Amino acid sequence: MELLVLSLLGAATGLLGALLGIGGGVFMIPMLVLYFNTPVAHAVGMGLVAVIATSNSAGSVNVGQGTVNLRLGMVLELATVLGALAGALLAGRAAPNILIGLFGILLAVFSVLMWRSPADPNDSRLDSEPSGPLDGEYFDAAENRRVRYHMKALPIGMGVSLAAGALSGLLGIGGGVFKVPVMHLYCGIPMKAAAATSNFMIGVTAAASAFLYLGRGQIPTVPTAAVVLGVLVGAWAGTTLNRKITDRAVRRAFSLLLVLLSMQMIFRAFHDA
Amino acid sequence: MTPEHLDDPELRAHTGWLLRGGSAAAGTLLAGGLLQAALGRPDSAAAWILPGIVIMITTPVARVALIAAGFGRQGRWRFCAVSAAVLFLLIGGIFLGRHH
Repeated sequence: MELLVLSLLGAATGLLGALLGIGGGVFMIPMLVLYFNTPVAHAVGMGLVAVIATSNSAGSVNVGQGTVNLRLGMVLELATVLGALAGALLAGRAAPNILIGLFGILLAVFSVLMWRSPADPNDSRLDSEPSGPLDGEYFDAAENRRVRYHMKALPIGMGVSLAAGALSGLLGIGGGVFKVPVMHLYCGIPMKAAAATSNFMIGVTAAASAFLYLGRGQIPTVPTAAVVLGVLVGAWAGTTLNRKITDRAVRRAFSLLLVLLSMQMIFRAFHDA
Repeated sequence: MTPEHLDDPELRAHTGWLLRGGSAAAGTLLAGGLLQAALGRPDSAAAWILPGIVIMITTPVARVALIAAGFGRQGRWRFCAVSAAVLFLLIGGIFLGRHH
Protein backbone atom coordinates (compact mmCIF):
# COMPACT_ATOMS: atom_id res chain seq x y z
CA MET A 1 0.00 0.00 0.00
CA GLU A 2 2.82 2.37 0.91
CA LEU A 3 4.52 1.63 -2.42
CA LEU A 4 1.33 2.57 -4.28
CA VAL A 5 1.14 5.86 -2.39
CA LEU A 6 4.81 6.50 -3.19
CA SER A 7 4.10 5.89 -6.89
CA LEU A 8 1.19 8.33 -6.75
CA LEU A 9 3.46 10.86 -5.05
CA GLY A 10 6.00 10.29 -7.83
CA ALA A 11 3.32 10.73 -10.49
CA ALA A 12 2.16 14.02 -8.96
CA THR A 13 5.78 15.16 -8.70
CA GLY A 14 6.55 14.21 -12.29
CA LEU A 15 3.38 15.89 -13.54
CA LEU A 16 4.05 19.17 -11.74
CA GLY A 17 7.76 19.04 -12.49
CA ALA A 18 7.26 18.55 -16.22
CA LEU A 19 4.51 21.21 -16.32
CA LEU A 20 6.57 23.86 -14.53
CA GLY A 21 10.03 23.12 -15.88
CA ILE A 22 11.34 21.99 -12.51
CA GLY A 23 12.46 18.54 -11.38
CA GLY A 24 9.82 18.19 -8.70
CA GLY A 25 12.24 17.26 -5.93
CA VAL A 26 11.31 20.44 -4.11
CA PHE A 27 7.78 19.05 -3.83
CA MET A 28 8.58 15.39 -3.19
CA ILE A 29 11.42 15.46 -0.65
CA PRO A 30 9.47 17.31 2.08
CA MET A 31 6.58 14.88 1.59
CA LEU A 32 8.93 11.91 2.00
CA VAL A 33 10.40 13.37 5.17
CA LEU A 34 7.17 14.60 6.73
CA TYR A 35 4.70 11.87 5.80
CA PHE A 36 6.81 8.75 5.14
CA ASN A 37 9.40 9.35 7.90
CA THR A 38 12.17 8.87 5.35
CA PRO A 39 15.59 9.96 6.64
CA VAL A 40 16.53 13.27 5.04
CA ALA A 41 19.61 11.89 3.28
CA HIS A 42 17.56 9.03 1.76
CA ALA A 43 14.79 11.44 0.75
CA VAL A 44 17.38 13.62 -0.97
CA GLY A 45 18.84 10.58 -2.77
CA MET A 46 15.37 9.50 -3.91
CA GLY A 47 14.61 13.09 -4.93
CA LEU A 48 17.70 13.23 -7.13
CA VAL A 49 16.69 10.06 -8.99
CA ALA A 50 13.14 11.43 -9.35
CA VAL A 51 14.53 14.69 -10.76
CA ILE A 52 16.57 12.72 -13.30
CA ALA A 53 13.54 10.64 -14.26
CA THR A 54 11.47 13.80 -14.80
CA SER A 55 14.24 15.35 -16.89
CA ASN A 56 14.75 12.22 -19.01
CA SER A 57 11.04 11.76 -19.63
CA ALA A 58 10.15 15.41 -20.30
CA GLY A 59 13.38 16.00 -22.24
CA SER A 60 12.68 13.11 -24.60
CA VAL A 61 9.61 15.03 -25.80
CA ASN A 62 10.84 18.63 -25.49
CA VAL A 63 14.14 18.14 -27.31
CA GLY A 64 12.36 16.79 -30.36
CA GLN A 65 10.01 19.79 -30.41
CA GLY A 66 12.93 22.24 -30.40
CA THR A 67 11.97 24.06 -27.19
CA VAL A 68 15.20 22.83 -25.54
CA ASN A 69 18.17 25.07 -26.40
CA LEU A 70 21.03 22.53 -26.30
CA ARG A 71 23.81 25.14 -26.62
CA LEU A 72 22.46 27.35 -23.84
CA GLY A 73 21.77 24.30 -21.69
CA MET A 74 25.35 23.06 -21.97
CA VAL A 75 26.90 26.49 -21.25
CA LEU A 76 24.78 27.04 -18.13
CA GLU A 77 25.28 23.41 -17.13
CA LEU A 78 29.02 23.94 -16.82
CA ALA A 79 28.43 26.32 -13.88
CA THR A 80 25.64 24.20 -12.47
CA VAL A 81 27.60 20.94 -12.29
CA LEU A 82 30.47 22.69 -10.50
CA GLY A 83 28.01 23.94 -7.89
CA ALA A 84 26.31 20.55 -7.62
CA LEU A 85 29.53 18.70 -6.83
CA ALA A 86 30.42 21.25 -4.14
CA GLY A 87 26.92 21.05 -2.65
CA ALA A 88 26.85 17.25 -2.56
CA LEU A 89 30.23 17.09 -0.83
CA LEU A 90 29.00 19.57 1.78
CA ALA A 91 25.70 17.70 2.28
CA GLY A 92 27.49 14.60 3.53
CA ARG A 93 28.72 16.66 6.47
CA ALA A 94 25.57 18.67 7.16
CA ALA A 95 23.22 17.93 10.09
CA PRO A 96 19.66 16.77 9.17
CA ASN A 97 18.02 19.61 11.11
CA ILE A 98 20.04 22.16 9.17
CA LEU A 99 18.93 20.57 5.88
CA ILE A 100 15.29 20.56 7.01
CA GLY A 101 15.49 24.20 8.09
CA LEU A 102 17.19 25.18 4.83
CA PHE A 103 14.47 23.40 2.92
CA GLY A 104 11.74 25.22 4.82
CA ILE A 105 13.26 28.61 4.13
CA LEU A 106 13.84 27.62 0.51
CA LEU A 107 10.23 26.57 0.04
CA ALA A 108 9.03 29.93 1.36
CA VAL A 109 11.23 31.66 -1.22
CA PHE A 110 10.00 29.33 -3.95
CA SER A 111 6.37 30.05 -3.10
CA VAL A 112 6.95 33.79 -3.60
CA LEU A 113 8.89 33.20 -6.84
CA MET A 114 6.18 30.99 -8.26
CA TRP A 115 3.32 33.28 -7.16
CA ARG A 116 5.00 36.27 -8.77
CA SER A 117 5.96 34.51 -12.00
CA PRO A 118 4.34 36.14 -15.06
CA ALA A 119 0.69 35.36 -15.67
CA ASP A 120 1.32 35.45 -19.39
CA PRO A 121 4.12 32.97 -20.04
CA ASN A 122 5.05 34.74 -23.29
CA ASP A 123 5.16 38.33 -22.08
CA SER A 124 8.95 38.63 -22.33
CA ARG A 125 9.28 36.98 -25.72
CA LEU A 126 11.57 38.74 -28.17
CA ASP A 127 10.91 38.49 -31.87
CA SER A 128 14.17 40.02 -33.15
CA GLU A 129 16.15 38.04 -35.69
CA PRO A 130 18.44 35.67 -33.78
CA SER A 131 22.13 36.03 -34.54
CA GLY A 132 24.05 35.17 -31.36
CA PRO A 133 25.54 31.77 -30.59
CA LEU A 134 23.06 31.15 -27.75
CA ASP A 135 19.95 32.52 -29.48
CA GLY A 136 17.22 30.18 -30.53
CA GLU A 137 13.86 29.57 -32.09
CA TYR A 138 11.09 27.00 -31.96
CA PHE A 139 7.59 26.45 -33.25
CA ASP A 140 4.86 27.16 -30.69
CA ALA A 141 1.96 24.86 -31.58
CA ALA A 142 -0.43 26.61 -29.18
CA GLU A 143 0.11 29.95 -30.96
CA ASN A 144 0.74 28.39 -34.38
CA ARG A 145 3.80 30.57 -34.92
CA ARG A 146 7.60 30.43 -34.85
CA VAL A 147 9.15 32.11 -31.78
CA ARG A 148 12.64 33.62 -32.04
CA TYR A 149 14.62 34.91 -29.08
CA HIS A 150 17.94 36.51 -28.12
CA MET A 151 19.91 35.33 -25.08
CA LYS A 152 21.17 38.22 -22.91
CA ALA A 153 22.77 38.68 -19.44
CA LEU A 154 24.81 35.47 -19.65
CA PRO A 155 26.84 36.27 -16.44
CA ILE A 156 23.60 36.43 -14.43
CA GLY A 157 22.50 33.12 -15.92
CA MET A 158 25.87 31.55 -15.09
CA GLY A 159 25.84 32.89 -11.51
CA VAL A 160 22.35 31.63 -10.78
CA SER A 161 23.21 28.30 -12.39
CA LEU A 162 26.19 27.93 -10.04
CA ALA A 163 24.01 28.67 -7.00
CA ALA A 164 21.24 26.39 -8.25
CA GLY A 165 23.77 23.60 -8.70
CA ALA A 166 25.01 23.99 -5.13
CA LEU A 167 21.44 23.82 -3.84
CA SER A 168 20.84 20.73 -5.94
CA GLY A 169 23.79 18.90 -4.42
CA LEU A 170 22.93 20.10 -0.93
CA LEU A 171 19.19 19.50 -0.96
CA GLY A 172 18.54 17.01 -3.77
CA ILE A 173 16.48 19.34 -5.92
CA GLY A 174 17.04 20.23 -9.56
CA GLY A 175 17.34 23.98 -9.02
CA GLY A 176 14.85 24.68 -11.79
CA VAL A 177 12.74 26.91 -9.56
CA PHE A 178 15.64 29.37 -9.56
CA LYS A 179 16.83 28.91 -13.13
CA VAL A 180 13.50 29.16 -14.95
CA PRO A 181 12.49 32.60 -13.55
CA VAL A 182 16.00 34.00 -14.07
CA MET A 183 16.28 32.69 -17.63
CA HIS A 184 12.86 34.10 -18.40
CA LEU A 185 12.97 37.43 -16.56
CA TYR A 186 16.63 38.42 -16.95
CA CYS A 187 18.01 36.46 -19.92
CA GLY A 188 15.11 37.04 -22.33
CA ILE A 189 14.33 33.38 -22.89
CA PRO A 190 10.62 32.69 -23.61
CA MET A 191 8.96 30.81 -20.76
CA LYS A 192 8.43 27.60 -22.72
CA ALA A 193 12.06 27.49 -23.86
CA ALA A 194 13.30 28.40 -20.36
CA ALA A 195 11.22 25.66 -18.77
CA ALA A 196 12.20 23.04 -21.35
CA THR A 197 15.91 23.94 -21.24
CA SER A 198 15.89 24.00 -17.44
CA ASN A 199 14.13 20.64 -17.34
CA PHE A 200 16.75 19.28 -19.71
CA MET A 201 19.60 20.61 -17.55
CA ILE A 202 18.35 19.48 -14.16
CA GLY A 203 18.78 15.83 -15.06
CA VAL A 204 22.49 16.42 -15.71
CA THR A 205 22.82 18.51 -12.54
CA ALA A 206 21.13 15.86 -10.42
CA ALA A 207 23.25 13.09 -11.97
CA ALA A 208 26.41 14.80 -10.71
CA SER A 209 25.11 14.51 -7.15
CA ALA A 210 23.17 11.24 -7.50
CA PHE A 211 26.34 9.19 -7.94
CA LEU A 212 27.59 10.56 -4.61
CA TYR A 213 24.39 9.51 -2.85
CA LEU A 214 24.44 6.11 -4.58
CA GLY A 215 28.03 5.62 -3.44
CA ARG A 216 27.00 6.43 0.15
CA GLY A 217 24.12 3.90 -0.01
CA GLN A 218 21.55 6.68 0.42
CA ILE A 219 19.21 5.65 -2.41
CA PRO A 220 16.87 2.95 -1.02
CA THR A 221 16.01 0.57 -3.87
CA VAL A 222 12.35 -0.48 -3.53
CA PRO A 223 10.85 2.90 -2.48
CA THR A 224 12.91 4.64 -5.17
CA ALA A 225 11.62 2.22 -7.83
CA ALA A 226 8.04 2.95 -6.78
CA VAL A 227 8.59 6.70 -6.88
CA VAL A 228 10.44 6.70 -10.22
CA LEU A 229 7.83 4.61 -12.02
CA GLY A 230 5.22 7.12 -10.90
CA VAL A 231 7.44 9.99 -11.99
CA LEU A 232 7.84 8.56 -15.51
CA VAL A 233 4.08 8.34 -15.97
CA GLY A 234 3.46 11.77 -14.41
CA ALA A 235 6.18 13.51 -16.44
CA TRP A 236 4.82 12.07 -19.67
CA ALA A 237 1.35 13.36 -18.77
CA GLY A 238 2.84 16.72 -17.75
CA THR A 239 4.59 17.30 -21.07
CA THR A 240 1.39 16.38 -22.91
CA LEU A 241 -0.69 18.76 -20.80
CA ASN A 242 1.91 21.52 -21.08
CA ARG A 243 1.07 22.02 -24.74
CA LYS A 244 -2.66 22.33 -24.09
CA ILE A 245 -3.33 24.32 -20.91
CA THR A 246 -2.15 27.52 -19.26
CA ASP A 247 -0.05 26.83 -16.20
CA ARG A 248 -0.93 30.00 -14.27
CA ALA A 249 -3.57 28.37 -12.05
CA VAL A 250 -1.39 25.31 -11.45
CA ARG A 251 1.59 27.44 -10.44
CA ARG A 252 -0.46 29.53 -8.01
CA ALA A 253 -1.99 26.45 -6.39
CA PHE A 254 1.47 24.93 -6.12
CA SER A 255 2.73 28.15 -4.55
CA LEU A 256 0.14 27.87 -1.77
CA LEU A 257 1.11 24.25 -1.21
CA LEU A 258 4.75 25.27 -0.85
CA VAL A 259 3.82 27.84 1.79
CA LEU A 260 2.19 25.12 3.89
CA LEU A 261 5.10 22.73 3.40
CA SER A 262 7.68 25.39 4.25
CA MET A 263 5.90 26.22 7.51
CA GLN A 264 5.86 22.55 8.46
CA MET A 265 9.53 22.06 7.63
CA ILE A 266 10.68 25.15 9.52
CA PHE A 267 8.58 24.12 12.53
CA ARG A 268 10.09 20.63 12.47
CA ALA A 269 13.64 21.98 12.17
CA PHE A 270 13.20 24.12 15.29
CA HIS A 271 11.15 21.48 17.13
CA ASP A 272 13.75 18.71 16.64
CA ALA A 273 16.75 20.94 17.24
CA MET B 1 24.76 23.40 -42.46
CA THR B 2 22.64 24.25 -39.43
CA PRO B 3 22.42 28.02 -38.77
CA GLU B 4 24.53 29.21 -35.82
CA HIS B 5 21.45 30.10 -33.74
CA LEU B 6 19.83 26.67 -34.12
CA ASP B 7 20.45 23.21 -32.75
CA ASP B 8 21.01 20.50 -35.35
CA PRO B 9 17.69 18.63 -35.91
CA GLU B 10 19.53 15.32 -36.27
CA LEU B 11 21.31 15.85 -32.93
CA ARG B 12 17.99 16.72 -31.29
CA ALA B 13 16.42 13.56 -32.72
CA HIS B 14 19.29 11.35 -31.53
CA THR B 15 19.17 12.93 -28.07
CA GLY B 16 15.43 12.30 -27.89
CA TRP B 17 15.91 8.65 -28.81
CA LEU B 18 18.64 8.25 -26.17
CA LEU B 19 16.39 9.69 -23.46
CA ARG B 20 13.44 7.52 -24.47
CA GLY B 21 15.65 4.42 -24.58
CA GLY B 22 17.22 5.13 -21.19
CA SER B 23 13.86 5.81 -19.56
CA ALA B 24 12.32 2.66 -21.07
CA ALA B 25 15.21 0.40 -20.03
CA ALA B 26 15.36 1.81 -16.51
CA GLY B 27 11.58 1.73 -16.15
CA THR B 28 11.45 -1.92 -17.21
CA LEU B 29 14.09 -2.94 -14.65
CA LEU B 30 12.43 -0.94 -11.87
CA ALA B 31 9.04 -2.48 -12.64
CA GLY B 32 10.61 -5.95 -12.62
CA GLY B 33 12.21 -5.18 -9.26
CA LEU B 34 8.94 -4.03 -7.76
CA LEU B 35 7.32 -7.25 -8.97
CA GLN B 36 10.05 -9.25 -7.22
CA ALA B 37 9.50 -7.22 -4.06
CA ALA B 38 5.77 -7.91 -4.23
CA LEU B 39 6.57 -11.63 -4.50
CA GLY B 40 8.63 -11.40 -1.30
CA ARG B 41 12.07 -11.71 -2.89
CA PRO B 42 13.99 -8.70 -1.55
CA ASP B 43 17.42 -9.81 -2.81
CA SER B 44 16.12 -10.41 -6.31
CA ALA B 45 14.27 -7.07 -6.20
CA ALA B 46 17.48 -5.21 -5.41
CA ALA B 47 19.27 -7.07 -8.23
CA TRP B 48 16.70 -5.68 -10.68
CA ILE B 49 16.28 -2.21 -9.24
CA LEU B 50 19.91 -1.22 -8.72
CA PRO B 51 20.83 -1.56 -12.45
CA GLY B 52 17.64 0.35 -13.25
CA ILE B 53 18.69 3.23 -10.99
CA VAL B 54 22.20 3.17 -12.46
CA ILE B 55 20.81 3.32 -16.02
CA MET B 56 18.47 6.14 -15.03
CA ILE B 57 21.23 8.30 -13.55
CA THR B 58 23.74 7.37 -16.27
CA THR B 59 21.40 8.44 -19.08
CA PRO B 60 22.05 12.19 -18.56
CA VAL B 61 25.80 11.47 -18.67
CA ALA B 62 25.38 9.59 -21.95
CA ARG B 63 23.28 12.50 -23.17
CA VAL B 64 26.10 14.96 -22.53
CA ALA B 65 28.58 12.66 -24.30
CA LEU B 66 26.24 12.41 -27.30
CA ILE B 67 25.78 16.17 -27.45
CA ALA B 68 29.55 16.78 -27.16
CA ALA B 69 30.16 14.33 -30.02
CA GLY B 70 27.37 15.93 -32.06
CA PHE B 71 28.80 19.43 -31.66
CA GLY B 72 32.25 18.08 -32.58
CA ARG B 73 30.87 16.39 -35.70
CA GLN B 74 29.36 19.74 -36.77
CA GLY B 75 32.64 21.57 -36.13
CA ARG B 76 31.08 23.73 -33.39
CA TRP B 77 34.17 23.43 -31.25
CA ARG B 78 33.26 25.96 -28.54
CA PHE B 79 30.11 24.03 -27.65
CA CYS B 80 31.93 20.74 -28.04
CA ALA B 81 34.56 21.91 -25.50
CA VAL B 82 31.91 23.16 -23.05
CA SER B 83 29.98 19.86 -23.30
CA ALA B 84 33.21 17.88 -22.88
CA ALA B 85 34.02 19.90 -19.74
CA VAL B 86 30.55 19.11 -18.31
CA LEU B 87 31.15 15.44 -19.11
CA PHE B 88 34.55 15.55 -17.38
CA LEU B 89 32.95 17.01 -14.24
CA LEU B 90 30.18 14.42 -14.29
CA ILE B 91 32.70 11.59 -14.51
CA GLY B 92 34.55 13.29 -11.64
CA GLY B 93 31.30 13.09 -9.66
CA ILE B 94 31.02 9.37 -10.40
CA PHE B 95 34.60 8.85 -9.19
CA LEU B 96 33.86 10.83 -6.01
CA GLY B 97 30.71 8.77 -5.48
CA ARG B 98 32.68 5.54 -5.55
CA HIS B 99 35.41 6.74 -3.22
CA HIS B 100 33.67 9.27 -0.97
